[in-house]
Amino acid sequence: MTPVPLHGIASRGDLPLPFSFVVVGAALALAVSFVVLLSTWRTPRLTELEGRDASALQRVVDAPAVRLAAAVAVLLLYAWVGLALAAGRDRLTNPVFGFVYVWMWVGLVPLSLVGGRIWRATNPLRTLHRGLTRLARTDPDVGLATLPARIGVWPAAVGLFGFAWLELVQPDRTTLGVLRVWALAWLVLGVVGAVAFGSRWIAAADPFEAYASTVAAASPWVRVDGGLRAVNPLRALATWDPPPGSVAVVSVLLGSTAFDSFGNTTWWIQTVQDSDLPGTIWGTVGLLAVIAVVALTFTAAAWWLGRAAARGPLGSGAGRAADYPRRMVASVVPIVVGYVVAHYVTLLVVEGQRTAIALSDPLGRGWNVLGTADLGVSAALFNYPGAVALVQLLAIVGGHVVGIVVAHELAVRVLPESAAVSGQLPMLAVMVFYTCSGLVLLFSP
Amino acid sequence: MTWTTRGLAVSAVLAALLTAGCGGADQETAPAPTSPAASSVAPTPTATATASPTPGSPPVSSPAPEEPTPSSDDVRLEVTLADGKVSPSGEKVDVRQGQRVVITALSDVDEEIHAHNAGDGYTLGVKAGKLSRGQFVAEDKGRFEVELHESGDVIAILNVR
Repeated sequence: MTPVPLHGIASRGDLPLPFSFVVVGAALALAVSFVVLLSTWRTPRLTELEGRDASALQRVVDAPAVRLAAAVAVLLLYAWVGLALAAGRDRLTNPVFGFVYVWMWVGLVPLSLVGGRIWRATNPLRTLHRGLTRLARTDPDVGLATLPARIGVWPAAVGLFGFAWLELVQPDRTTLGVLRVWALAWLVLGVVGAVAFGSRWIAAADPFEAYASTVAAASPWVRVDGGLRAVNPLRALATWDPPPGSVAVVSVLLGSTAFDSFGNTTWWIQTVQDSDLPGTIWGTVGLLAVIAVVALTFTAAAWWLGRAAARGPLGSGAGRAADYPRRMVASVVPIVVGYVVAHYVTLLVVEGQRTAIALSDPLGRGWNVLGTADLGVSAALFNYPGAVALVQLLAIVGGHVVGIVVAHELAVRVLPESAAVSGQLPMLAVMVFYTCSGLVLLFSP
Repeated sequence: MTWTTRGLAVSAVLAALLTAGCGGADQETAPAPTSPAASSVAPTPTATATASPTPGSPPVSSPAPEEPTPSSDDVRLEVTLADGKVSPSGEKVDVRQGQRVVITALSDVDEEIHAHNAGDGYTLGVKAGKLSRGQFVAEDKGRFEVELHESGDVIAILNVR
């Protein structure tokens, strides 16, 4: 037998979260939620960004030479992976699979959390588009038409659903033929759209940039009047103004991660395999259903809060209730991050190494271009399931705590005294529901 | 219509085989198994995965010389594939690190069973109508899928602790 992984990007997964962890996590989430709701601040406290001046760092990261070098380096990396996609061998040792499903899809979360808007600054679609406009001597910010502001990140939400479907439902997702079609669609839609609408299109439509920008809202790096500052991430979140379509983006992110776990439950596997309907249909409907549950519960809870806010101190200045789901998105971003860390931390660590090794040999010819080919994959993490479970618990509960604090802050800004508790109770219940669901799914019944 | 009948027929054969296997001493009369390896199988009465030793089915007295002695400590996975439906289906099975997993399989089509186990994985070829038997040792901790190669269906998920 040749020692080649049979199929699927990772043949080894996390053990179920011990049930005691589920109980402790759920109890903690519930307790913290009510403490925050009932016995903390009643007036806004996180309205100012404050934080520390980071102009020294800004001089480095904003230097044109640094920007150009970073953008070109990332573009070269994508070109290198593109070579593997176009001309490599159709097996799992091809680095493109790990690059797309692990480095990009999972890696962008820690990258954006720690590095802020670094994805946007080095997005290869932007680099390509800038290069094209330089050749054509046009302004990259101006396209042939103007994209209406209300489009927000809606196209990216559709794109994120497309990627989630590719990752979780698409048959043969780890074959070159399938991935070539998707990669080409991403490249063409991104660059052609940017030519049509200017670089604003990439923020609106590139699923990876929209995902990265959403996570970056929870990073400490914020620009205030053009100046870079390191702030408390709670303040960064609580002052973030999410673009239209952000509810769809976070619903797809949370829903698809939850569906990934849900798809591993014995009940789901049996239902799909014992049915005469194709698994693709089950997968599509199931994925859509979980995303819809997230979107509907969150929208309803935020709308309720908005209705109470209309009676609050701001009066009509509190805005329409229908706008509240978007305005409350920051409170669910930490939960998304917690979910992703809990579900994919071992995947990122273990398969991420495999990808780094495979990148030395994009065409499967025994090359060692980057000097990584002879490194071994350390899967030692799997030998400490207790430690992994603890990280998962901390990620889920930590995401919940940050989310609850942000939701509470956003709520007390607008709610009247009479509805200080009742106005945000549904939002709190929804967030506890997401957190407990995440824990139960990790228990993997 | 026809495939339903075929499925029923296969199920009957499966039932007959499994019942015959349970008799232990009556194994020579089992209709389909032809290889010595297959006839030394002593499946448990139900076609489900059992992580614990099964008191009802003691090891066969005279196994083929090249077969390692079945141990009561083994995890047994009895797989049937009939009419495109696999059993067990997506079942969670608890395995101790280092424990042996013994797979017996009966199918109405040629298939391959893949057990992922960290490194290279384990493959058991299955011929239509013949009882196949294989085994591997769960060397690494973690969650591993045992699946059918052609259909991609998940037979079981091994939680190796």
